[in-house]
Amino acid sequence: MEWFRWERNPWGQEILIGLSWDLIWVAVAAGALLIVVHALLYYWRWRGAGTGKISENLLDQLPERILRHSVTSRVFHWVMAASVLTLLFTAFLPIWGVKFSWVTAHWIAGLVLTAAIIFHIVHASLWKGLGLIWINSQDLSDGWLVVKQALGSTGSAPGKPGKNPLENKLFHHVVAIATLATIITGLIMMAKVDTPWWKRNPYILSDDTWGIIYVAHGAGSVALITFIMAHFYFAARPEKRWITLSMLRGWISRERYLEHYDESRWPVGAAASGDAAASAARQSEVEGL
Amino acid sequence: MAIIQDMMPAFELFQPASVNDALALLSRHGKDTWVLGGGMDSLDWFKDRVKKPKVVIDLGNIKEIEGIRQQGDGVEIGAMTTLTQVATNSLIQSRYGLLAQAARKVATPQIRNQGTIGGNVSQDARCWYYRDGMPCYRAGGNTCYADTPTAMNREHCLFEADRCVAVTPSDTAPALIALDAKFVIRNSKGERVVDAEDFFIGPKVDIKRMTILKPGDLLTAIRLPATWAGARFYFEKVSDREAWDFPLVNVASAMIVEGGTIKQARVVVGGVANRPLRLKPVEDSLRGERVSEETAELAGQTAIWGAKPLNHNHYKVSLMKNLVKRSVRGVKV
Amino acid sequence: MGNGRVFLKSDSSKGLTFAEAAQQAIKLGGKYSGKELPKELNPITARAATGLAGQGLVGVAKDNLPIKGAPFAFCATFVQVEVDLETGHVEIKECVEVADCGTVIHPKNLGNQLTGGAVQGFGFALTEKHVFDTKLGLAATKGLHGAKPLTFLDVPLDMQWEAVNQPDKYNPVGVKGIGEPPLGAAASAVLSAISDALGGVFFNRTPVTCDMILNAAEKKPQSYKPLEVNV
Repeated sequence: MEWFRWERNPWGQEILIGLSWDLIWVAVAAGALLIVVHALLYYWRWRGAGTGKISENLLDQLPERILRHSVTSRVFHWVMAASVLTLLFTAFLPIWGVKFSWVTAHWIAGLVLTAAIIFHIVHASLWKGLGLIWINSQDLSDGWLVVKQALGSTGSAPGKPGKNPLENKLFHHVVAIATLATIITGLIMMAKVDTPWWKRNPYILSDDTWGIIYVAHGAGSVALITFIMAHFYFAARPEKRWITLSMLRGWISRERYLEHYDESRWPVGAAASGDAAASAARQSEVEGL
Repeated sequence: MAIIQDMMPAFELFQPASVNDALALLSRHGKDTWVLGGGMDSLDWFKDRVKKPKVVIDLGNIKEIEGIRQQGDGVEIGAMTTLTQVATNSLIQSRYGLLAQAARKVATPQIRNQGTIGGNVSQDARCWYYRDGMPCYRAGGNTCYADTPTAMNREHCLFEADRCVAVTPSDTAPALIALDAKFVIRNSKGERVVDAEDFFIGPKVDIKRMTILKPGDLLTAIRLPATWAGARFYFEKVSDREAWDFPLVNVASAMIVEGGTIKQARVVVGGVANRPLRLKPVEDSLRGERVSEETAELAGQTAIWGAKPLNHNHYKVSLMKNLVKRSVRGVKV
Repeated sequence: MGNGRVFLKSDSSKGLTFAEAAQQAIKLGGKYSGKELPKELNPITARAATGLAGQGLVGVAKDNLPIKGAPFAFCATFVQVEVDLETGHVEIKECVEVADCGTVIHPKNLGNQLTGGAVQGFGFALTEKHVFDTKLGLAATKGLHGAKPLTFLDVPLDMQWEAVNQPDKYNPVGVKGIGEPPLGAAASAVLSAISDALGGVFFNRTPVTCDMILNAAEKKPQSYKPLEVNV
């Protein structure tokens, strides 16, 4: 299997062009492997693990619906999702053999994604707080306990996580790295497109440098195939259905909240945002259940 | 053209005697095969060592795809018919003079004696950056060297640039589209017939191919229906010199004119896009109009809508306008 | 001399064939067969003569004749062109050349030189150029096809020539050279004719290709910048 694509120029030099398209199949295989391994392990060992007990008295103190994702967050997520899927389809379908005019749709979706990412960085940092996504030591120790439990050892059970358990944060980070690599190299490639503001000029970089940029672009996008396959899989899993729905509806039930999350690490009750509860209540009115 | 490096790299040569044998060879040897028609382009690629197929299938011995014969009220031309045969055939000259004129203008007499019409329509782009071996999009790389602020792109395209700005170099292609020719393609799964217009693809469909032919396909024949036989034809090729030169812009038109009014028209221009452009807006503007200087002028102006010249080829806008105008005017001045 | 023999003018039966003369020269040796050379020869000529020595009759000398002034040869060329203002195509309808190259000693050869030189000159004026991509340093116009010398279909079928036939007084035979003048003359004539056809547009560069003519005729700007070369 080739890792890279090379071409010769008239001076006999080998020029790096990009990643080999074989890697697409490697990514798909990796994604499929992840899915199969998880499904097997889940049904074999993990089913039922991880749900905690609910203290009844807390239930009454909480509104029926707990806000997990605000409207803004959800809009961002779906705009990002639509643009990422457009990017992936316009990129990989022609390689697979479905020929159509893909270039313009591809970079327009790329610009949409860039805008969404910039928005997200500002909005999530300033309005939501970086603590929601940075991995802290408690996450790591809990994560280690989860691994041990999964491997069968009977020790202390891991504590309940905050809003984003370790796996969420890890997933966010790897996707962020892959996406940023692809987007930044993609933005550099915009120099090759004629726009009302600039004329196409590939000579801002040498052929060799472009090769590296294309390799990074390819690596990021191919990795995204695997990550998104995994993401779709987990979103579709029945025991995670309630989380998936929260990205559409915005809320999770108070039962789920108490089952899965540590109140002190993700406060939503009386102590925390009266706003959060109020907006959740408003939302349930708006959505009419 | 690239520097002649050395001898051709070695390949296995097959000379089948029938189309079925050729197709069997194609499916057996898969991707690294090259189909050889007259060899007028292929041998240059091999000698310059830019293309190095492992297997070459020479169609020169296949009698069934050579020759011009009447078919119903139309004509079928075998893909291996030489351009000289096409240009001098009495059937073509009398009823499809447009194709005879176009074939007559290709390259030189020597090339026409050996080059085939199938090869002429399937030939590869002539962009000199591509031909010189630069690793451009068409060659599998990720840049176009002809569409840059400093590139020498006098011969390149005005329309449909999609990462590649090379133009179609064929003279017979516009004539065949104007005559509503049908291309017969065979592969191991069977035979299909495509309109001439659909035979040529642009870079947005597949940047590495000029035509709809995929590995394993063979163009076996070109059929000319009776629709445009005997119509009023116009062909003009503008190039730097009168022989052995690819067109800067060429125009082929067929018009059915009754009593001075244009009933139907087909106008096709080559050399301005990656494929020969059939100018449907021009054809629409001509239908029902009288043949006059005003009609011709309007046709010319209509033809150049949406042209996007590069740094050295804006003369092609004027040239295309004038050629379309002349094709309506009818008489070569 | 005639029919491969050298003979007495008064009695043609007395003579030698070229082969016999050569054999005699080899037998005589010395200055007849190139073994002895005049001292003032150019070193390259001397080396060439030494290489041929002993193979036959070798005659070699240096031109030591007195020279007063520079004996240039001249050619005046007249050309009529037809310029198609809609396509920029130039057709050379007629060409007449008159050469001043001293005494004409080989008319057929002179005719070839004049017409052949003119064809080259037409090429200089109309199609031949060097094009380079400035970023890559790649030459676009390679090979016979890229260099675009003119073909038979581009030159007039009938090209007339004449020679003034006035001997050059500084040459014992009265001859001058004629290789280069026809080119320059033909190129200039075509360029002048095109400028005249366009009503006084001067390009000040060669070649003048159809795209340049078309841009001038349609009053559009040219693609090249004023002092840009190899375009």
